[in-house]
Amino acid sequence: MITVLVANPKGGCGKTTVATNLAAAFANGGLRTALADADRQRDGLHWLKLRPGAVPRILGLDWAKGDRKSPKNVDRLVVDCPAGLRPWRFREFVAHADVVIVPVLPSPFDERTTERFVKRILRNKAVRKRRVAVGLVRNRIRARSRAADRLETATARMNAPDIGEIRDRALYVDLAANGLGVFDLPTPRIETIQADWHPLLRHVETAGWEAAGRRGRTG
Amino acid sequence: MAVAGISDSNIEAELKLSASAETVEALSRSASIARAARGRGVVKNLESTYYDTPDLRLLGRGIALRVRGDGERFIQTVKMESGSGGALARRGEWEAPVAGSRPDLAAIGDAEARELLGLILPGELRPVFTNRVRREVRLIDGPGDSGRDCAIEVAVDIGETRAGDATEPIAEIELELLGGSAEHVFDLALALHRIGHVRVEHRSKAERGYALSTAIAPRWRKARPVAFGPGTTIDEALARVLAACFRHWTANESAALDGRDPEGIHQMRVGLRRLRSALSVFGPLLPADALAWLELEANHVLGMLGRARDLDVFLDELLSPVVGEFPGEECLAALRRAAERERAAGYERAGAAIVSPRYTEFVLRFGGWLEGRRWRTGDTVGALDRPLAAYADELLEKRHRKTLGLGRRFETLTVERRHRVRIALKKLRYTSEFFESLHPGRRTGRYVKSLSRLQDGLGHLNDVAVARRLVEELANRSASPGDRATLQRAAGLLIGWYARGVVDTEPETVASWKAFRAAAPFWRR
Repeated sequence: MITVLVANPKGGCGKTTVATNLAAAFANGGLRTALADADRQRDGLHWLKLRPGAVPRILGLDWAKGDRKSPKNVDRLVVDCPAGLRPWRFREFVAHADVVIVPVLPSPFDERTTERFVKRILRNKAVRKRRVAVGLVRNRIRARSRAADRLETATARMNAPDIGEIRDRALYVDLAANGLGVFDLPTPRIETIQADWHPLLRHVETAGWEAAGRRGRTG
Repeated sequence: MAVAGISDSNIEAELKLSASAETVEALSRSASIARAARGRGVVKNLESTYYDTPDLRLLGRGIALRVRGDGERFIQTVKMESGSGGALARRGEWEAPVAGSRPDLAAIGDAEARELLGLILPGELRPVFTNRVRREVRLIDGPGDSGRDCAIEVAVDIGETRAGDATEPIAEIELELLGGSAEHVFDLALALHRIGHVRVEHRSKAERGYALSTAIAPRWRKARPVAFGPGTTIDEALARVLAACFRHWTANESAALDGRDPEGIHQMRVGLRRLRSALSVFGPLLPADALAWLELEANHVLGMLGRARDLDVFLDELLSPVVGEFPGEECLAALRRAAERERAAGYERAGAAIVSPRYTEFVLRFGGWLEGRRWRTGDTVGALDRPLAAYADELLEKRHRKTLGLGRRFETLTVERRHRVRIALKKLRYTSEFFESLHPGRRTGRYVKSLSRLQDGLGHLNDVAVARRLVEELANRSASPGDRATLQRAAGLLIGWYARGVVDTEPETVASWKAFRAAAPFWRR
């Protein structure tokens, strides 16, 4: 199993959007997938409730109350971390993870908080020993905007690999309202939108699998 | 995998022999195979295509995904490569029929196999290479007097691997044991080798195809630990230790031949040195002629590989740091060039030894001897069936005392005397590592750690002594007096640098000797 933590103490940076779309991608790839919601608002679990029966199933786990058991017979576990997570609580989450994905928005406030957060997680022992792979993903990007360029300069400073960007699309809102992710749609026309996620998914499959191996966990 | 229930002490019940297409054809018609055949062979034309993602994630995971067609139907196979895939030590193979030559992930019913492949994005799989072979399969009786108790499947493959524009011929004989003892597979292989020279191919077809289609160097492999329990007999321990050594050194053959990663030749030598140590541990219980033969052959290969390793150590570990201290020093650059030429010659020599008929003869004879436990002759048989623990403790005690004796008044010992301490220590270390699993606990870890720290210190002194001889040799051998003067200048610089280093590290070496002396022997209760 590979466990993917989607984390950033900054609220509203798209953690739940990233987590739900990753989970939908894994489930559509034929892998047994679970989504653990650690946020008290339980948006992720609500999204699962809206999910139609015709799309691949995703197991829902309520991690908001601190009872955080890893499920059995699951290939990919995506954890949606709460906003405003304190360092000592974050450490408990990292103990479960193989990959940490940090979404960051093109805004000076988000950049500052994220930079501090990344600095802190890079000091974590498991991260230093490369038992956990950290990656940044630039979220809600508008093409050729000054803010987007600024963010790219900012992530280059952060000492964690920049995995790529997810472009801003109204489609994500419509999909979220129906319990879906972009990989649930078979339409060939949205292939370019799905392609935004490919670097991130490949990163999980490569770095996450290697990290899981170093941790001594198999397959 | 065709081998049912490989025990720890068995090497493989499947052996692949490669040679030129003419030799393979001739061998397949030779009496060893033709006369023992149980009926006519079955011929098929097989086409196997291996698939991966553009970033070669399956290769990274040690997984092969293949679709094989024989003209009538297609079979998709997910295969775990042995000894690959990071922390994974399992082996497995999953097959399913598919409609065409393209892979169909939905056909994989097994959740474990699906998880091993991981997420594959739409359209991501593409062919990496294709093997086309004419395969003839026959079932034969085992060699010699093994007769009908032993059945071996002989598959003769002639064809080619194609990856883009690159092709490589395939010509091999695969011997697979279907019943009886694995020693017969080795005996048959040895009989064939004596008719027409072959090489034992340790790489899978997938490994070879990837080597052809990508620039990735072959993997080197570490030894797998061998653990014993209180009930293990000497005989069982011997079989398992020797099998582990065999697997370790042979698994590194292709990385050593490739030579791009110095770890290949290093690991191959580590495996052979462990064999030599095992012979010194169990030697008194082995038949004298077998012991002499094994020592001779192991030492021969070690010797042929030694030059390449010495130069790897010299260039990467001893010369590089000094070059870093004196950047732009022309005489050091000249020394590096001379050493690199010498290393290339060393690798050529090592490669020639690995592909030599003598080496194949050694490997095949050793395999048969090991699988047949042919050391069980003469008057030592009774001793072999005794428990390992008492024998191990006695030997550890003996070697521990010997090392302490040789190292008395360590501070005052000359270089030659310390060299003797180092040799005794090395034997003690291998013995401890062989037997540490008999005494699990913190004391064992601490003892072995103190040993290895001291050995590292003394090993560095040895590397320096080897480097010293090496640079002097390189300088004296150069053709022109001008070159000689340059190299002698470099030699002086390097020797001076390390002489000073040895003085600096002396207190550390003495301290690690004292730490070793103080470490509690873990086998004493």
